Amino acid sequence: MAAEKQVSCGLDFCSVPDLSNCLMTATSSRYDFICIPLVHPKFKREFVDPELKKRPGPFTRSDMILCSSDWNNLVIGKLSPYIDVDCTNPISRKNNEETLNQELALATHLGLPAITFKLTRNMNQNINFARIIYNKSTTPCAFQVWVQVPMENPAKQANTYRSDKGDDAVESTWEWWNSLRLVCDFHGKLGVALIVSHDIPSAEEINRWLGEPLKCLILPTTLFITNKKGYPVLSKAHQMLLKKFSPLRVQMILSGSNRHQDITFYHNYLDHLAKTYQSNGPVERFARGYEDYLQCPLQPLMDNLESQTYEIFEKDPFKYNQYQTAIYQGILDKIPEAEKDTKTLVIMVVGAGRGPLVRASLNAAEKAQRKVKVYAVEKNPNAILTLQALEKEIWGDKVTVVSSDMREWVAPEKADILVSELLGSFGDNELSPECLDGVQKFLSDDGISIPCSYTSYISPVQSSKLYNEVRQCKEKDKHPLAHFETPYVVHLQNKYDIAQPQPLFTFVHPNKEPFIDNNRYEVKKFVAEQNSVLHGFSGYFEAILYKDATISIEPNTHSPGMVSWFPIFFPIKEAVLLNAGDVVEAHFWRRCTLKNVWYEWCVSKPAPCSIHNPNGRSYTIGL
Amino acid sequence: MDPNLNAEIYRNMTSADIPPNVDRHLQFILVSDGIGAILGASNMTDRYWNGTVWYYKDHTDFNRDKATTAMKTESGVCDGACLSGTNKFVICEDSGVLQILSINEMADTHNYELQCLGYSFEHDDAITSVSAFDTNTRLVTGGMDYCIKVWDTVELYSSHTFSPAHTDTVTCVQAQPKSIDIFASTSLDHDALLWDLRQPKPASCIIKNVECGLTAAAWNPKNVHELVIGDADGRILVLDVRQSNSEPVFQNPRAFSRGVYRLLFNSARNDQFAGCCDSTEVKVFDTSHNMEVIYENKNHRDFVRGLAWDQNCLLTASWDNTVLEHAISS
Repeated sequence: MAAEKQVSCGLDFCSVPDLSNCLMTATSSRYDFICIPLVHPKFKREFVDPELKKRPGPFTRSDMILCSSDWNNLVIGKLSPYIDVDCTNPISRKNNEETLNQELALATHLGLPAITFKLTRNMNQNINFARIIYNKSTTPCAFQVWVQVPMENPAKQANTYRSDKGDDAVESTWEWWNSLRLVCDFHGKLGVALIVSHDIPSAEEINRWLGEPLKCLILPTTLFITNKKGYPVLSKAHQMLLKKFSPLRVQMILSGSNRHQDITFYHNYLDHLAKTYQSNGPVERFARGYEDYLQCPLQPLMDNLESQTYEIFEKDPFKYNQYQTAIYQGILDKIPEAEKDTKTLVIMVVGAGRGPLVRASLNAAEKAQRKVKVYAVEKNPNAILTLQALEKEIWGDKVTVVSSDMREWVAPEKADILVSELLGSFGDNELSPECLDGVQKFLSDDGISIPCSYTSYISPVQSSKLYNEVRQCKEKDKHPLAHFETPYVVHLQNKYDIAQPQPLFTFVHPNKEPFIDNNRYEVKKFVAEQNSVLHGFSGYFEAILYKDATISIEPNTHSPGMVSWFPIFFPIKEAVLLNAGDVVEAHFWRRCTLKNVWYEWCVSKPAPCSIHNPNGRSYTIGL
Repeated sequence: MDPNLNAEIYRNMTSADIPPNVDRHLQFILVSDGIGAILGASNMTDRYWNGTVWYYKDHTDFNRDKATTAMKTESGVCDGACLSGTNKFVICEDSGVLQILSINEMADTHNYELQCLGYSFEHDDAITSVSAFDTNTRLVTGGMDYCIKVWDTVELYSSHTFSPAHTDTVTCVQAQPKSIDIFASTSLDHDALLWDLRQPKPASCIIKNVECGLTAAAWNPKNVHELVIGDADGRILVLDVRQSNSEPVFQNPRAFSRGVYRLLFNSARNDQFAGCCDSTEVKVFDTSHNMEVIYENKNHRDFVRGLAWDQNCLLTASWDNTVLEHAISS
């Protein structure tokens, strides 16, 4: 059996003398689909002149040449390249509009998965075109629209031949795409087919493309160089580029004249690269299929977790080791060598779940050669079953299982170490502060809380994919904006970080303040490095368990292999256009009542927008 | 034949099963002194989008059956150029292929055949235009890949590649008469450029059209600084290329009713040039009389694509599958 294919790769044909033959050539060379002109790219039609519009005969070949499943799955239709519906001459415009409509209608008739065309300029000369494409996208037509955008403005190279042009800066092609999709209201059927250039743009520009709905990369055969054995290969720089795009699992299209012995060589090489780049770390394995998939954050305080959920979290290879290290340090700090035989330490695991932290506590004590007494407090009666089984069959009298909500439990003695894992993707969003505040009265004055502090982080992010996903989360019986006023847990892939994350809210335990107030308000300023679009904020956290033992999902300090948390995403209602150098001023509030906790957020710069989630109307976390 | 198997029967037919089909979209016509005429055509709407070139030793009758010899091409052909004074010519194809062909008379049978002398597929998209320099050792081509290439016709290798030369389809390239280094190009990017291959930065702007893309160009053989340009709205502009980016010397905004396709001066009478567009119109203009239209004809029944002068006779080839002769009086 053939090895699993790593990459979906299409073959572009500029001319298709014999359609069934082209498809056969492509599939026998292992390509997955073809891109072809639907109408001969030189065959212009007339729609205004009463005589000439009656031209006898067909305007293109028959659909019967391929069976409909081939049209539906294997063919991407290219629009005629000369179509210019934004020209000023009314007759030319009419003819071009009708030409475009005719080709779009044909694509619908054939049931193509996608149509594609090349952008050659910015929106000021493309508005009418955008309108027609947007109109078509909003009808129940099936096809996607793959907008070909050159990674580098062709004017840059063309200008080098010109004696009348200096090194004038040329417009970034991202602006062409950005204005098109803005006019088309970020429509989900529009995607980018990025034409890879010889000269690779700056890393920042590449990163910005990673935040766009990329459908495929188009690789011209002229990019390839020939290796010693005569096969087509890519330069190191282009290999690194493909590697950057590989987490998005984008398709590829090979275009241009065959410059090597066999067209299949290009495919084999790209497939080989994709195999090499496929990262297979624990996080990637764990998250496969969840890329950019929006989930509602868990509310373990209100809802009891299911067995399966416990099982998933218990599999984290990193987190519990780190907890064990922290507890070990804590035990050693609490019982000096001299007292190791006389003193017994009280450890309370609050929110013990199915007992991984109890196990970590016992391991740590054993390793430290100290005596401990562990209370395992859990509110979920179903998890208690597990704990009681473990108590009876493994742990014995070292562990006391307590079936109670930690906030209501009256402990018989004070703890030296309080261990909890109540953190959400945004740190405090599963109400760890409220829970630990409630239980800290049973911590001795010099007791330790593990974790002893945690901090949430936010960063401004561009992702039209997430923006579109959020738009589709609209629910009938909720506030019309509720889906934009709810944070989502999401394995962010198709995104561009407009600026580096900054710390937001910090909580320290035990909380020794005379008046405990878990309300927070912070203002953060970010500077956009380049023109971009703000779609929301990604949120992370970093926690100090004890001393050096930390866990983090903040990208710069992310704990290796830790899979328990995906980032959180705070959407905003309206995308905000940013120019390079613009300051994004973000306001975040954490608001509490006796019953629940919620976040409110807004952007005040570069332009003010309204507060999201006032009074927690769309989203609260129940206490 | 089962009525419900219509599509499958059609799908499974091979080229042998299909009745012979003459490629009817005539694309270009060339007339060369002492050699004869060459006609090129594509099929752009049926099952196969191939092309054909026909050679007529005697070009009084362009009936396809009367051709001296013919050759099929794999993809459609859209333009060609004679290497004057030789029995060779070049054709360019929709697949990006450039071919040099020679017209050979067989010693034994005295029949003629077209022989491919060279073949190149360096263009990454359809070639739209080809033009030969006066020495016949150089060619220039432009295409839908935004690219312009200059070729050595002896070895058929590209000596210069400008990729991308424009930021949209290159619609026309024309070598300057009596020159071996200078040519003009037009593009749908609205620019017309003048290229001088001796310069390190060879290109400069002749004109940047505001309204629409540029689609055709022709040099005046009598005044080699004069370039006539046509655009996608049917406008004709006359420019003096010594003044870059300047106003046209003359312009006629309604020279044609549709986008200009091809312009060609009469080498026998340098003050006349002919033009055709995305319509049935054929027009001849007189440059010595304010671009006056001295001839107009709408007898074709589809777009006119090919133009050739044979002394004072204008030959036009059209997608209606006919070649018409127009006697142009002086």
